[in-house]
Amino acid sequence: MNQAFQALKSIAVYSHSQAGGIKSSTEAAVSAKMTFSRLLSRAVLINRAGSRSAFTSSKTDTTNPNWLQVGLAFGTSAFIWGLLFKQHSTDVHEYEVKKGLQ
Amino acid sequence: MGIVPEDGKALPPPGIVNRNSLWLSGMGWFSAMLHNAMNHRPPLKSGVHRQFLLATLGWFIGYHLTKHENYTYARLDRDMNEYVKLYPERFETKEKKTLAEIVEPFHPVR
Repeated sequence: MNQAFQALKSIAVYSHSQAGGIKSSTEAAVSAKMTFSRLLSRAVLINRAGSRSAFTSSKTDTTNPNWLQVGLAFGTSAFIWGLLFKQHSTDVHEYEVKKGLQ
Repeated sequence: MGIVPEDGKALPPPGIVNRNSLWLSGMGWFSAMLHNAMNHRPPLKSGVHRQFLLATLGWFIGYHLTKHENYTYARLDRDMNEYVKLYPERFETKEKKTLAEIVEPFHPVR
């Protein structure tokens, strides 16, 4: 938190200096201060550069169904029913063969 | 197949409609409805594709489970009968007497 706030502060100063033409020494002072406080702060030990949260939140849209998902679900169901009937007919055929021979 | 080995092929296959299929497809349907209910959706009317898919999966698994069950019981029966044939002296039936031979003769006193 502290580190983020420091970063924001330095960004704010930097943009302000770009806009208003503050002396570069002030800018250098701010960044030096930030580097110094980084040494003291324990928050820098948590390095947030390696990970980012991808969580986004939005209400589920119930009026527009996800047709791809629906199609995939029905397609998979049809495939599995087909598999089942095929397997059953194979089993029946095998049984008839065995019964016929014995 | 993977479910039933070679010696199980002589068994009659279960019908498409069988107890395990019905139960497991019911379970799949119910779990889809439960999922709907837990996400605050109308349980029966929403996500019909999910309900159908889960019921189908349950039916499929139930069919193969019934096949495996039939094979297992047949194998156990076969092993038991082979054992009985192997050691018949352990399975002798006592001679059965009818009641007429045991009971004293009946003289009605009227």
